[in-house]
Amino acid sequence: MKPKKVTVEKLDELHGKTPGLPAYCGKLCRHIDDGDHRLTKLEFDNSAISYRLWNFLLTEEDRLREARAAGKYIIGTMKDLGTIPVMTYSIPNTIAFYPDGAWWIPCVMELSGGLLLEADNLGIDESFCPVRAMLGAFVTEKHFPLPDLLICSSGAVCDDFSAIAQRIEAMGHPIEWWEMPHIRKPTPEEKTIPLLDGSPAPKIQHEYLIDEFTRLRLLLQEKTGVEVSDKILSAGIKRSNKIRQLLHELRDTVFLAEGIVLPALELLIAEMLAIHYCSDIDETEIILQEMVNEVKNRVANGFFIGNKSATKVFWVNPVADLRVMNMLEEYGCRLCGTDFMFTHALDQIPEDIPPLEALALAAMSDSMTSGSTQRAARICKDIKKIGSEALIISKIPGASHCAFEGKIISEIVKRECGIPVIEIEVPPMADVMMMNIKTKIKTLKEIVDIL
Amino acid sequence: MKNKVLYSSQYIPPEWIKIHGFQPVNMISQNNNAFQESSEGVCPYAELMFKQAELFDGSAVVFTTRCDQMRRISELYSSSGAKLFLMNIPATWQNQTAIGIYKDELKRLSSFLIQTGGTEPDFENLVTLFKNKKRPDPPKVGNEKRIALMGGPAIDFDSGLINLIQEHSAKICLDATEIGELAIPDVNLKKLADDPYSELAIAYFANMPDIAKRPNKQFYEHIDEMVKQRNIDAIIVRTYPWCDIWHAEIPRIKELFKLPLLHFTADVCTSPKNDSRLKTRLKAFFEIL
Repeated sequence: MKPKKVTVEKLDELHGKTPGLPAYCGKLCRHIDDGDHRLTKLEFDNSAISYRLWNFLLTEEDRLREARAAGKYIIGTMKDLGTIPVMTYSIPNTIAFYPDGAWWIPCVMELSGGLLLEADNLGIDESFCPVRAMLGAFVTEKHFPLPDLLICSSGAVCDDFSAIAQRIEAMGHPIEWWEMPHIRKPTPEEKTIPLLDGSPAPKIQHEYLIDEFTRLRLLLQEKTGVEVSDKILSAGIKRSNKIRQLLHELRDTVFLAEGIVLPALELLIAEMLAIHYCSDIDETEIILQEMVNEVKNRVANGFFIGNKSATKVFWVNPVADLRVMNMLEEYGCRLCGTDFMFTHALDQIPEDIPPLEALALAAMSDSMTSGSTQRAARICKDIKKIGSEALIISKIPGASHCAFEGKIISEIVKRECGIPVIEIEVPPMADVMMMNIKTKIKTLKEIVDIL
Repeated sequence: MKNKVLYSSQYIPPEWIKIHGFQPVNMISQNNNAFQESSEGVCPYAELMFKQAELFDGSAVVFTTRCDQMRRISELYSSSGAKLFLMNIPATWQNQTAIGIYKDELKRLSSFLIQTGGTEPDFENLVTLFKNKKRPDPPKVGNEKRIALMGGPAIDFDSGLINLIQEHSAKICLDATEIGELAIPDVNLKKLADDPYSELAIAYFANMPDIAKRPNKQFYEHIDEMVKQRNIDAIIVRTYPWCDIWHAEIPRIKELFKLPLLHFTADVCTSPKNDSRLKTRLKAFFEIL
């Protein structure tokens, strides 16, 4: 089947035509009836694996409730974006999920879920990042079952999240906080350790994290009644690396293809799976493997969406409104490179060192915990590898990091890569700003075409 | 000026800077005229600190990671000739790792100061410096309304706020701002002499109540005790725009203390005495009281 972008109704025509799909799959339109109105405004990849991916994403709440009913231990892993879930998924009968993911609910439900209103009522207004929807979700208890345990990183994290998580704890949801230090450059006299990208970091900061993860390991043992041995953690890391390898293959195939072999929207969703596996690591692996197969097949057959002249855009930060990902292609661009704030969750975790040491390295490689200069360095490296022609920095309204990083990243990328950069701001419902966003994207494309 | 070190947070012991042969200069005490306009999304207090650092003609500037905005704004600092040190302040405090981080940061700051032209730390002098340092007694109050002031660090414009409050027969009896009474460390001199790193880590970090800590129950426990001891009548919370840490806690402060509360957002470009909107709000607040 030749790839193209289709409506949700059109994608639903695949229902019943693909054998062997898991039980959670059904017509996506059923979610519209439940309030996920944004689906009617989105365009989707027309493949069977896209149909499965979207079903997987939109049934997370149901699957979590089934897991709870089946007696599984549910852990809400907050903020760290990809490290503690590796640990928790190593433990049998345990599921990690990501309450922060509620930030997309206002978009998907087109604000009809009332989560932002709940947050407003608690004094967490629009001066905060849209992740404030998570607070609303804890109040309404409608979007995920309350976890058995909450683990949250603090320290070098954004203020919005930390402040909101503190309010959640004060509402009676105890949180186990762990310290994520600001990762700095080592001084000349310090012992160093190479991070996942090879850059040196102070060894002492690695030791802090090992101590913190040792503490969390004991807590997990106590709570789950399972011995969290090095052996099971190593097995968990191996499993996570498989997921990360698949994502690496998917990203490379998509970014380096001659044309669009996967829409930006589906790639964003696929990358999100790396953080916490959408509450099912086995299914995540199957879906990513099939996505890799699909895009490789498209490349082999020269099947592309749209024409090949689309401008190659590197995208920084996730968008609160998924519709904006669709717009990129509508205005003659394609996604070629991403930093959705969790590039560290895409890197392989070392398997030849003790697991807690390896996980500490993974956490330290989170570019959000160091400076924007370090983040920009990775972006530049990827831009040069992929050949991206422009950069879009998507600002998250209210987010504490967005006030600074745009300027720093923009200047470094312009200097190092010589490509044009624009900043756009994307609220959870960007409809009223679409003209502004559209103009900026079109202008960016025009500049690239002139260059 | 070259023997001066500018610092930006209650977590940085000025005494520590002093025993390395430098004169500590609190950014708060600097001239606020450095600030002309604020940038979109940026905490004006953090931006003010940044501007002052840029104008500073001393040996070094010390920022902290206490909040995301301060952590990130230090990255923009480059145009001054002074060296920069970013001190990592943990958000957690109930575990040994956090205390260990703070102690290690003190050691790293010490090395930095020595490399910047300072001396080896004079620990005997450290004890002497703390001998006269203690929390002030609560202010004596007559018939005035007793006010607890909370929120971001006060800058010198705030003298205008204090005057405005006094005009309404009220008095600030509890300064619970970031650099207020709670930020004055309670140091055990004997322990300080025995192990200065550990004692400073306890006094300047572990025991220092701060709304930004995770969890921040230590802040509420201390304030609750002081509010009761001092028979506080009302609370004024002054926050800076985009300060999520304080902003998020306003409803909780209201709920826990059950006292009349006035919250306003500070404009660092305008003195409270020239802010007619604030003056009207204060007038209405005190009328209701």
